[in-house]
Amino acid sequence: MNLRQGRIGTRESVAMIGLAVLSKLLCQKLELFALNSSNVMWFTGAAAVLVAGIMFALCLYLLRDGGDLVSGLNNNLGRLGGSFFSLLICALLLFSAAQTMSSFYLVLTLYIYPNTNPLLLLALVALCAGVPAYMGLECVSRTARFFFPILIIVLLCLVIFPWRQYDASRLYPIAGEGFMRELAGGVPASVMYIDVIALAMLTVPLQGKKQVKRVGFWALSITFFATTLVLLAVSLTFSSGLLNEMVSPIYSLATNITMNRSHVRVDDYLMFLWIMCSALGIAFNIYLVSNVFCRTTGAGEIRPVVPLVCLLCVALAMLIQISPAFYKVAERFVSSYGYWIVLGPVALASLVAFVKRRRRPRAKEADA
Amino acid sequence: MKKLFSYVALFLSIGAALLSCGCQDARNIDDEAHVLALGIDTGKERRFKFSVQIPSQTASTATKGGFMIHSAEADSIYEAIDLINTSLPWRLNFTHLNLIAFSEELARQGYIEEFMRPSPRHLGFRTTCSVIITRDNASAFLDGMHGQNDINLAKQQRTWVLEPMKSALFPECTYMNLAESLTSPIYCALLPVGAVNINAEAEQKRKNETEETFSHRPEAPRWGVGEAVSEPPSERTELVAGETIRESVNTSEIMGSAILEHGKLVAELDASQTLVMMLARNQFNQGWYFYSDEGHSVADLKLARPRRVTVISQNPLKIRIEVFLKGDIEIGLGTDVFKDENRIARIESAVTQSIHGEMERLFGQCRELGVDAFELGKGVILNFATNKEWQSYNWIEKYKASELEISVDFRLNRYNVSNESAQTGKETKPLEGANQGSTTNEGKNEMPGGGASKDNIGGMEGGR
Repeated sequence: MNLRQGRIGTRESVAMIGLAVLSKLLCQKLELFALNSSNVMWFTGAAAVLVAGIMFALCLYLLRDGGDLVSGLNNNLGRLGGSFFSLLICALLLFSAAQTMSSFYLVLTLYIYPNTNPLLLLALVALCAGVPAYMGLECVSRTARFFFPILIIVLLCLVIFPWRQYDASRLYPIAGEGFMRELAGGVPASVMYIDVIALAMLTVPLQGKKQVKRVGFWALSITFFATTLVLLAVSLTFSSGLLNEMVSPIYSLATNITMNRSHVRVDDYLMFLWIMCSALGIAFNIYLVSNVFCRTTGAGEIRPVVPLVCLLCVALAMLIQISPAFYKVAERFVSSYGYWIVLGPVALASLVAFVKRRRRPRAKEADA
Repeated sequence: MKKLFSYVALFLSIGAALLSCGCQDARNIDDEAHVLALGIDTGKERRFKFSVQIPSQTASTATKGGFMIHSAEADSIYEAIDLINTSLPWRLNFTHLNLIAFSEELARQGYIEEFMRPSPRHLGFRTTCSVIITRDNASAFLDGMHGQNDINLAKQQRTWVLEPMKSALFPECTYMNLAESLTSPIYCALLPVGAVNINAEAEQKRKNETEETFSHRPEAPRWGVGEAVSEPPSERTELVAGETIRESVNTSEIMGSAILEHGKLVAELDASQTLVMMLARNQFNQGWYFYSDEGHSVADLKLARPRRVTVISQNPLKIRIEVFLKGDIEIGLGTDVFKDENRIARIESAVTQSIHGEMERLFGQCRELGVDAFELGKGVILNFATNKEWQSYNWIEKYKASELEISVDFRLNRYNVSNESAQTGKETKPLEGANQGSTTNEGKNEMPGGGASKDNIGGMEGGR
């Protein structure tokens, strides 16, 4: 097997995961936090991180015997079951990448290229994502490390600059549809943190479980703070009624920034970063899907698989565009139950691993 | 081979990045006409008449002050844009839009909501652009914004946006504020009112006939406010858009405000009422207050703290609103007003009571109209934990039967007193209780333009 993934440092990995999650969460799936009422979405995000944290902890538990998440699932659920669930997680990642691609394409057509052929746009996005994925994980992560601090700075600008338009009354009623109900509404949104869970599939390039743990913690923390702050800024700037009508609240937030007489052109920076982050996020997902596919099917070379996965992603993105009915069903399913696709197998495998571990000393004693 | 492949991949990614930066669908500056202001009137043949104000690349006889106005009647903004685009060598671009002007007639008929329903966000303008109501038709207002001299119109429009921070003669309202007022009962749009000044227009016409320039006219009248103050209250004129006494190449002006309910104009306020309304709505920052007290006639009001809204009882609804102001008094040379604490207290009391009375009057009239123009709902909603509780509360119905307790806290800065006391060793403290809304008004005080003497909101029916 010739998996050219290199060895990646902590900062690169945090940047890569951070970009993947933030580009998805803030630019495309902000409404996941606003299913019921958008004025409380800033604390709804906390529930999503909590569930993602639990999932990640379970993944780390599976890594105790060495190897990575794929081998952990294989060891505890059998090779067939493990491969099936690994591919299922990959399918979710692929759908997530296609969704990102599709939303990204939608934004491009709406704001930048209203007259361009959709196929050309999709091809462009696929090329932007496919080439780094083809070049390997190290390439993706090193590029991500360059862009991640810039994204954080732009997000901070988005939080600080619109302060004149903040109105605390927009956060009220503070509990939205009820505190527990809003928190429960945030649980399905944990599916957006699937990239953090996917870290556990990359123990080899991440140089072991310790680093995976460190990267996961930092990625979750940074994305949590960034998401909460931006969601809070959006909620303070726009009322619920306006938010429901917006295609991209974060873009609207960027365009609304004014400093005295002049508009501050944060939207241009945001758009550029959006393009880069989305491309890198999709590249990471494509690489991971190709990687796991190669390992579960025993394919020796990853490079021929990457373009195929990329094409599959484009096809899915096109299907989303062509068939709104398909997208509606698939999106609703993933938004509502997607987290079970990760949490279910991981929790099951962890339970089996726990039982096995409890039995092992007894078996040793019996042998003795 | 590996290196070659890497180079190919690198060039491909750079190429893709370049393409995604705008080589396709490039927008050349020569092909675009940046719209600075959009005017919307009721049409004669079609529903709306849209007017766009664009800067001209070359000043010619066809352009006035380097700007052009193009109009088209259509049922929607998109249709009008297409119509205008067909007659121009450029395509209209709204990304630099500063101002949207709705005519009063349109606003009165409730067409603003209709205009905003098929969200015009696809035009690409920023939702922070200003929105105003014009007493004349909107295209005439846009036309009056620039005279024959070259005025930097974009700068002028941006200056207008900042003006409410300094003078409180009219409020600031953005497209987003207006959209918000259409979606929630706790927001109420308070739009500035613009008009073509009848005096300035007449003067301009006369000047054109005699070919005199502005600088050659030493007898030019002062800005209307100052003159009105010297007159007895009963003889004063309201400070409303289009009727101020001034002379300028720019005949359009903005003054006062209009209250909209669900996109329909329900009342108009003059400048003085607007100041009090802005105070009550927490939109006030700074402004001049005119009163008469032994020769000292101007107070510079500044916001000391944001307003506070407290619910005293929910059933029946009783709300308390507290506004906190500080200010300076403009004194003449050689006066010793600050040495007399009683006189300072008298001035504070007079100003406080006038604001208190005007606020009370405005609240009563808004309550009768069933419009929460003070945006008290923003304070009341804090007492509700969930949306369900808030919706079942039925805010507007409760508001119509509510009572408001107003408290105005105004303190004058006492610079000279401090100096004096430093010399004499006396400690100076702000007077307690002298500046509450219930104190008696001994001084003769008035709002700018005689607002305090006005008994009712100048409603839609109010003639000019």
